[in-house]
Amino acid sequence: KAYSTFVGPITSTRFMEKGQLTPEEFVGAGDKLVDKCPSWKWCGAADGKEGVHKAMPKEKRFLVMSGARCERRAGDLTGDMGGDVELEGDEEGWTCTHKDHVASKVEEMPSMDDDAAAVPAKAAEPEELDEDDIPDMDMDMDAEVAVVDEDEDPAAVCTNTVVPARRYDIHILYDNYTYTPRVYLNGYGETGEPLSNEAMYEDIYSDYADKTATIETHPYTGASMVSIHPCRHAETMKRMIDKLREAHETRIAAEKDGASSSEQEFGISPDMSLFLFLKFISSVIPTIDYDFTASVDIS
Amino acid sequence: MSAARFEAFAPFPKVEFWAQLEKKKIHEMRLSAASVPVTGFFKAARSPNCVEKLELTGESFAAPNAGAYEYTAQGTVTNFNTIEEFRALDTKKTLAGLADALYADMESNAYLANPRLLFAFHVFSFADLKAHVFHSRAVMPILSPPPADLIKSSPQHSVSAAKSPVSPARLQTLWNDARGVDGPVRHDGIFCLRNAGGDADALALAPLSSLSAEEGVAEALGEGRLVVCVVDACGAKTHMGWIVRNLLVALNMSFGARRVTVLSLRESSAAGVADSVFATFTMGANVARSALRAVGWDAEKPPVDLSSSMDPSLLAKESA
Repeated sequence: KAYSTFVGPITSTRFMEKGQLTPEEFVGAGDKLVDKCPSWKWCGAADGKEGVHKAMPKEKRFLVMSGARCERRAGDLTGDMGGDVELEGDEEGWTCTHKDHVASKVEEMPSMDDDAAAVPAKAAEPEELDEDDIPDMDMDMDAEVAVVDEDEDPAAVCTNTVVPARRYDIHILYDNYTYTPRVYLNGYGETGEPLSNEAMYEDIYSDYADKTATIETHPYTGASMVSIHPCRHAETMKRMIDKLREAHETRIAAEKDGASSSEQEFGISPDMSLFLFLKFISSVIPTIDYDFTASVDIS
Repeated sequence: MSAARFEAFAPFPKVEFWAQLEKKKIHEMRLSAASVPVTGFFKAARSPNCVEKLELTGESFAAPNAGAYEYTAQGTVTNFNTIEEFRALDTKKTLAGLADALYADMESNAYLANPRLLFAFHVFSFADLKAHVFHSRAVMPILSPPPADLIKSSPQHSVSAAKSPVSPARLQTLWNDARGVDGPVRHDGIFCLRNAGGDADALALAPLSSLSAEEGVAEALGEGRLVVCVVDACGAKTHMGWIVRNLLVALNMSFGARRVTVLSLRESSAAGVADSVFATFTMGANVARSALRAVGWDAEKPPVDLSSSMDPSLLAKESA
C-alpha cells in the first residue's frame, strides 16, 4: 500500500511491454467489454465514497457480471485436462487449463409456432480474437426457487425446467499495486443460498486454490469474496500478448508467401485487454461459464 | 382461451445487499424500523424457459445505476430490531395495506406516469449483527380478480409469426431508438406500441403515460391498434411474467379494457428482441376493489448466514 501511495498510478501505457494497464486504459477496456458484452456493467462505490481508485470516474469503479452458471466443480475436470498448456517462461507460472473447454451450451429459442421439441443446443465455436466479431454473452437463468404458494394463488407459476446450477457474480477491479485487473467472486448455491468459502474453492482449479485464491473484503461492497491474487497477472498477460503477436506474424508471413496478402494490423490493444484477461482467468475458474466472448489460441 | 398464469417475480437479495444493510443499520438506520427505499435490478429474459431474478445488490441503496440491458424496480426494505418483531409481522395486514396503496396508484392513474408502481416490492428483514445472519420475507403485491373474472389468455406466439403486431426487425429498430439514454421508455419496463396505419412505418413506441390523454383506449386495445409492451423477466414459452397481472387489472380499471394484447419483450445479446412473444388477454367483467384479492408473498426462505465469510479485521474496524 505504502509502495503504491509513494509511486502513484502509472500514467503511460505499459500494456505491450509489461502487460500492465493505466487506470484510464482499464476504464477504456471496461467500456469496450460493457459495449460488446451487455451482461457486464460498471458499478460505483455503494456509499458514493472515493474509495481506492481516485483516478477513475466515480461511477466506473468496478465491473460486474452476475449470474454466471457453474454446473460442474473444478475437481470434476480431473482426467479431462488434455487441453493444458504451460505458458513459457516460468515453471511456477500460469497454466492455461482446458484450452479446448467450450462454454456450456445455450439453448436456442424455438419459434412459439413450432410444435417441435427443444432445438438441440449449439456450442460456441472457438475462433480468433477479433474486435469486430465478438459474440455476445447469453446465459440462461433458472428459476429453481419456488416463490409463491400456488395453492393460494392459482394464477402463479414457478418454472422449473432448467437444470439447477451454482451461480457466480464476477467483479473485476483495477489493482493499484500490480496495475492489472483483479477478479473477485461471489457464489450462490442451486437454491440461491450464498456459498461458503470452502464451497467456492471447489470451483477454483486446485493448482490455484491454494496459491492465488484468497478471501478478501471487496473495497466497495464490503462483502467478503474470493479473490484471485493479481501478482502474476501482468507477466501472464504479457506472455499471452507475445504468443498472439507471434501467431499474427506467422500468419502474415504465410500470406505473403501465398497469393493473398491482407496485411492486417496486430489487433491487440489495451482496450481489448479485458477479453484477454478473462480468457486466462477462465483457466483458474474453468467451470464458471462467463466467457462467451472469444477464444484465443495461445498454444 | 384458457385461464392465464404468470411467472412469479420475487426480490433476490445478494450478499452485497446484506453487507450494505449491515453497514446502514450500524451507521444510519440504528434503531429505526422505518421503510427505506431500495432499487431492484432485472433483465429481460435471455433464453427460453428462463426467469431472470430481481436482484438487490450493493447498489440498491444508492441512486440506481442500471446497466445497458438492465431495468429497475422500486421497493422498500423494513429492517426490524429484533427477531421477535420480525416473526410477529402480520403478513395479511401488511399485504392488505400494500394492496390498498397499489389500488390507489391504479385508481389515480399514477401508474401511467410511473409504470414501476405496478411491480413495486417490499422486503422485511431482521439483521442479526452479532451472528451475521439475515432473515427476510418479501412481497410483490398483486391485485387478482375473482375466479369468475379470471384473466384468460390466448396461446403465446413469437413476434416472427404472421399475425404478430410487429415484425422482429421493426421491433428491434423501434426498441433501439426507444431504449437509448434519452429514449422515451428508458427503464420504465412498460410502454405502448401504437399502430396508426396499416404499414410498418406507422408503428411507434410510446410511454404508457401517453394513454392518459387519449380517448377510446379500450377500443384501440381490443382491436389491436394499441399493444402494451412489457420488459419481461420470464422467458417461458407458455406464459408471461408477474408484471403483466397488475397491468391488466390497471388497464381494466382506468379504461374499462377487457381485451388487451400484450407483447412480452425478451432480449438477448445474440438474438436481440427477436425472441419476444405476444398473447391476447381477456377479462370477464370490469373489476371492483372489493372483488380484488391481494396475493404476492414470497415463500419463506431460510435465513442467510454470512458468518463464515465475514472479514474479522473489517468488523473490528467498523465496530471500533
